[in-house]
Amino acid sequence: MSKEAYRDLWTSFINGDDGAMKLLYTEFADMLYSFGLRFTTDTELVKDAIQDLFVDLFKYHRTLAIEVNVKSYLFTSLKRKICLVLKKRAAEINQHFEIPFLLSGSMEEQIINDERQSELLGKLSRQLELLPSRQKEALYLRFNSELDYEEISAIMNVSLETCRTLVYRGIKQLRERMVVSHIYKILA
Amino acid sequence: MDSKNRYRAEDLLSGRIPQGEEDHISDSERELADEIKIAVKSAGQEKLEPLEAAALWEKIAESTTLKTKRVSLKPYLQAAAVLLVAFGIGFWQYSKNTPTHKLMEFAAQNLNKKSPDAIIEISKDKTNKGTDISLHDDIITTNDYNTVVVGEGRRSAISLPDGTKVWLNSGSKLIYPINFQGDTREVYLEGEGYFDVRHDKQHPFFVRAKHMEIKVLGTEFYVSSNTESDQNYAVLVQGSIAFSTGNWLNRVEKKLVPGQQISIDAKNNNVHISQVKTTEFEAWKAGYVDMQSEPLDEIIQRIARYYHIEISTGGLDLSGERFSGRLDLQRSVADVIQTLCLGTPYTYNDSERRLELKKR
Repeated sequence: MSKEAYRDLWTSFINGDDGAMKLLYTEFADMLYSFGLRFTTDTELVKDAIQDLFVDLFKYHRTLAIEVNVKSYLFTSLKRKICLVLKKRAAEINQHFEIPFLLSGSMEEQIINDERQSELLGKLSRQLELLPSRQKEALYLRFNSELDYEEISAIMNVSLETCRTLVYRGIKQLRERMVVSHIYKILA
Repeated sequence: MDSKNRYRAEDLLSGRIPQGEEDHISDSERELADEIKIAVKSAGQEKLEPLEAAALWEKIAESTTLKTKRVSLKPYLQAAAVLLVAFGIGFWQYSKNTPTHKLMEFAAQNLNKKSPDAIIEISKDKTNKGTDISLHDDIITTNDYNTVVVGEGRRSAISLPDGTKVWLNSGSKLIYPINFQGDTREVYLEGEGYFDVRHDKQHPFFVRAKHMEIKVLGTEFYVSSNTESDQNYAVLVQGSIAFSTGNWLNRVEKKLVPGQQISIDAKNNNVHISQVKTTEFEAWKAGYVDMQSEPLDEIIQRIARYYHIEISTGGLDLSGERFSGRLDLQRSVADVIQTLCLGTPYTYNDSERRLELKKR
């Protein structure tokens, strides 16, 4: 769906079109679900947060701004809801809470083209897991959720330039580790 | 510095290569950038199961004033059978005024209608316990029956009033009563479906279709199936089913055990039973394809069969591209093939449904 289509959908939702809300849900449920699972492994918590998010949208639809980037609005709200619960849970057991970003590539889910590529991808996913959370988040939003830098900057609450730098550093680190592991040399 | 090596993967992926200098990066860096994209893309691709997504939507609808219907998605206690079936249109002779006759008559009248004006009414009857768990497809309620029509290139899952779950393939139709009444539970299928039948000994479950009918006997799971339009078959995964075909003197009845596939040749009324691996049918239900070093062209043809469409590979020799792993089919055909083509020299043209060599 294009940005314009999202905006139209959003506008009709704000104007009280019931069908628009279901369309929003259909369009975003999976995307939000997998994004939510980057902060916790608790699938019930993520589903509850998605439910909360849409109920809130409905409750406050009259007061929502039309000029809003739908994607980043939904992602940001979901992240806030989930992190709030996680923070509370951590406080209950007197633990410090830092926003995690869980990104481990499961080999089973991957589509692997020949053995060399499979080895390379396996190595890449393991290295990906080791990157700092913020870099992982930026890489994920850019190449998995396929958001643009403006949207990413809204979700991560940092400047556009910082987003680009996070992506740049993440990729650079991955590339350098590939070189170290010699696998990249075979490709080169 | 050699101009080919001016930029690296991180420059490419963070958009730091100025316009006009896109060529100043080596092929290996470009390839690595592609691999990194694939690695990020394939990490964290969890999806809600269709049933989960529908249940979650119901909760949302209930908490808002969008309450259009009440739905109970109770946990399934016990399933009698799981079955994958594929059928064309065709009708049996049934004695008048039985539930079977009514169902078959309804199917005969409604399934052959091609024009949109044949679709009578889309109603969300509050007494309708048939749960629309699909988010994409229309359930048309006419008289006492619901008709589910799954669009081309889509898959769908629904839950019947008795708790039986059915996964339907692209282009399939299922007719079932709004409420099961009488001694039997009967549905009509055209196309392909995987059935997970709720256990209820007092009310045997029947799948009716062209050339055959299936009665669910056991208390466990079974699957039956068919893919080709003129060839009908059923595969039992778990449990037990009775399969019958033909009329009167030609009538053939067979009981199946798990792992068996029964195929019928409608013209000669021949029935053939063979052993098959059921894992592929279970995978079909779950919406993925497992590949073990399979060439790209075969995978593409498998995907095309799943979605009942034709995909042209335009005479390209794809046998050199081999894949292993699990391919997720929950998304649209175009998404699936595009994901597959990442990292290969090919791209998929969705509007013409054909594969093309990527321009670099």
